[in-house]
Amino acid sequence: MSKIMPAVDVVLVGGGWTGSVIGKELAATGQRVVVLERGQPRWTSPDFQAPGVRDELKYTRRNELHQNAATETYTFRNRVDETALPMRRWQFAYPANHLGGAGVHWSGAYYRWDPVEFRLRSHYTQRYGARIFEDGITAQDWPLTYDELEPFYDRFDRLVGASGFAGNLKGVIQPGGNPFEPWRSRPYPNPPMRVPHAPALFGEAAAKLGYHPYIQPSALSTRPYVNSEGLHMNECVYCGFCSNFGCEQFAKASPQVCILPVALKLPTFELRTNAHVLRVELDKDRKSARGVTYVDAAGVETFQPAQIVTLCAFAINNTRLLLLSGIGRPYDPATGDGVVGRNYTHQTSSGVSLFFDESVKINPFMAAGAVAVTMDDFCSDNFDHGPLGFVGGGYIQIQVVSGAPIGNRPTPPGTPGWGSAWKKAVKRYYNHSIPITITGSALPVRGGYLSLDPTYRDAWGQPLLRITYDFPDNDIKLSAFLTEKGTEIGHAMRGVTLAQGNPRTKPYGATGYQSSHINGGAAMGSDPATSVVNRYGQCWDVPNVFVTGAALFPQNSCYNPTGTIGALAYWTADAIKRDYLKAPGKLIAS
Amino acid sequence: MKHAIAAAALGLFAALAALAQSPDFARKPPAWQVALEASKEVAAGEAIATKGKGAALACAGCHGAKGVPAAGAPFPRLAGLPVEYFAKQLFDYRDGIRANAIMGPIGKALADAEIASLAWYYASLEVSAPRATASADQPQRGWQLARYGDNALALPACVDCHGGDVTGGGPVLPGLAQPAAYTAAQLSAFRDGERKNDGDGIMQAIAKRLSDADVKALADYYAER
Repeated sequence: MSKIMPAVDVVLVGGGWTGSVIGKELAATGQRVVVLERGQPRWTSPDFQAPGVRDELKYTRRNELHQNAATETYTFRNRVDETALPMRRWQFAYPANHLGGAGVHWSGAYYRWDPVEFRLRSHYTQRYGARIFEDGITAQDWPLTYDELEPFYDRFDRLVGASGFAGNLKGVIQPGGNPFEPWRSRPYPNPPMRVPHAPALFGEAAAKLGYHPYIQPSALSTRPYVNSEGLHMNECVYCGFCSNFGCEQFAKASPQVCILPVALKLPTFELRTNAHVLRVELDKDRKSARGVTYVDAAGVETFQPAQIVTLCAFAINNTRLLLLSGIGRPYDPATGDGVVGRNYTHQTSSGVSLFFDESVKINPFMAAGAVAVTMDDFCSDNFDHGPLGFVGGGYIQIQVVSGAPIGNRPTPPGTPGWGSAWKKAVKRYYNHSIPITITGSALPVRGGYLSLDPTYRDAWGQPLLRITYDFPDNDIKLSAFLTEKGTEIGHAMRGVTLAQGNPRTKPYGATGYQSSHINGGAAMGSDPATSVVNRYGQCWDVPNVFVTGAALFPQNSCYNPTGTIGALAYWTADAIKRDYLKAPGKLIAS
Repeated sequence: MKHAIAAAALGLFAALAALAQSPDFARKPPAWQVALEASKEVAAGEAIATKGKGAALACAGCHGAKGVPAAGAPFPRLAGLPVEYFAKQLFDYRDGIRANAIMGPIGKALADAEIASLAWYYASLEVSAPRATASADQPQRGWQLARYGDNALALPACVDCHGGDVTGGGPVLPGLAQPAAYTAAQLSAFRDGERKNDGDGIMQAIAKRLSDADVKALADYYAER
């Protein structure tokens, strides 16, 4: 028998970006809100202060801020005829845990998605013909447009203190900015980041080749800033402990820095940490949720009744909660029927290793998660895909993320993996090497999906989420093309003695890092036959359950997800406040 | 029609101008950095420090022989300051972005090479923390701000940037062990906009969120380091 808590209006599962944004928005209207966060509360001060936070072993190698793979992980296989095995430690991605979620340990790369991404299927079909999509690709249009989302991107910009130089203000291209940028109603609230040496060399070479390099937008504040919630952010100091770390400076945007201090002052907002949600509880007719069951810090199973349930867990963990709760019909790859778990994607990333002569000093430790010179010439549909025969694109850049001494040991191909020759190469190249990174889009395939594992269970006895996926040929072609372009730029850079492209190849695997952008399983759409939620993130089958985050992406663009996730959170909060609270029920007829 | 052609031509011209503007991402070294690389005359620096030069009074008069001020004096320790920080401050006094009635004219009286020489001289001196000049009546608060910051005020720890010891945290990030009167005066100057040589205003923004009691607590804490 579960312990039962007093009923509230809204329960949100997860204290990351979307839970914090939607929770605060609804609490401010007077709704009684509880956010259940499975991890510990951690705050910039004292938890992320130096010297303690600058610990690569603890945070990066031992995954301090990531999901604990010993209690809950994913299983993985490439094809349905294989048996999936659990990932024992994180290599392919870093799912989040703890207050703030991935919004704490992220890099802060901050993009809006190109308008084409929201009508991917129809745009490419119209321009290149339906056959540009290879058989079995289940990519589909979003049920909303960039123009509809723009005001919400703008709101999130002001929450996170976005930095950058506008390339397109209300349709007018701005000299010095990214000419491919989607239109924006206002400039970035903060100026672009400062450029380290390696990205400057990249930008010089890219411009020489006729491309359009620019400084990557980021959610790292570049000057003292008071955000849209009246909270202070400080200036990024390029300390080099950014991705995988909490920011010591209150400079990298996170829920802790940007919104939670305001939410927690509202009498209607409650945050409960160490509260691990097991499932959403449904009524007997399975058309309405009653609340959620979680395990509290003392290990007691607890029921939290609520009128509205919002799933705000890490990316695909929302898909798992839907499956565990029996919300929506699970996807069956054999028949193509069902929707929950459909359209899983990752990010088709690759790189070009660059090695320089000793006059070029990279200083990789002078770094920030999102400091880069980048280019969008090969993103979205910014180039002619006709002769290439694939869909999608990617950005090419040099980003100086970290010179952390355990992970950053670049050596040229052919160097032994140990011994004196390895040591000599490490010494020679530590300060004279950096990769060009390429971040490509990813298309969903009919045989790629998320489901509950029949064998392996988590520490609470529930089935693990199983990933079944391999790359479509489309994305392999894309990666080969982009990596070749990146290698050409590498060869054109001053001081480069060796440029080695490493395109992504099959099979998709669980042991090489690709990005932490794992998406899908609860696709947003306009047709209940091919989507789990409607354009507001509301479940078609259980209208008082809303889903947020990257689980909604029908496919992945080349751009980092958080800008779009934040915009969608405000979009959903707006729909709940404007329409749902006045007349609870389906916001879109089905 | 004429207008349309003119507008099109103008548009094309603007587009070409935008294309012609090739992006330059390279960092330009500031004047103080150029000066430091051009001149490293420690002996010349020592001469100015001990005897002065024209309108520039001898540094030692206030800052003490060997760059350590007398106990109780409100002047900062110069011994062991990073060359970059030292040179930048004198350039900033000269340019007025660090406003000070005594140091402004001294900065103006020194040539770039002389500033560089002084910087190299003081960096060569042994680092020593000042003796305690005040009794800390709020040791806990000073320690907390210095080591952990303040979450509610969005203040990071001082040590995040300035390091945990007298040598400082980097080229333009000096160690903070200084006489209490000096530390308090600087935090007040940042807060009141008299000192604005902190890049994008990072210290001004921090100082504005410190109460008078916080300033005193930090000044006392760093006087005893």
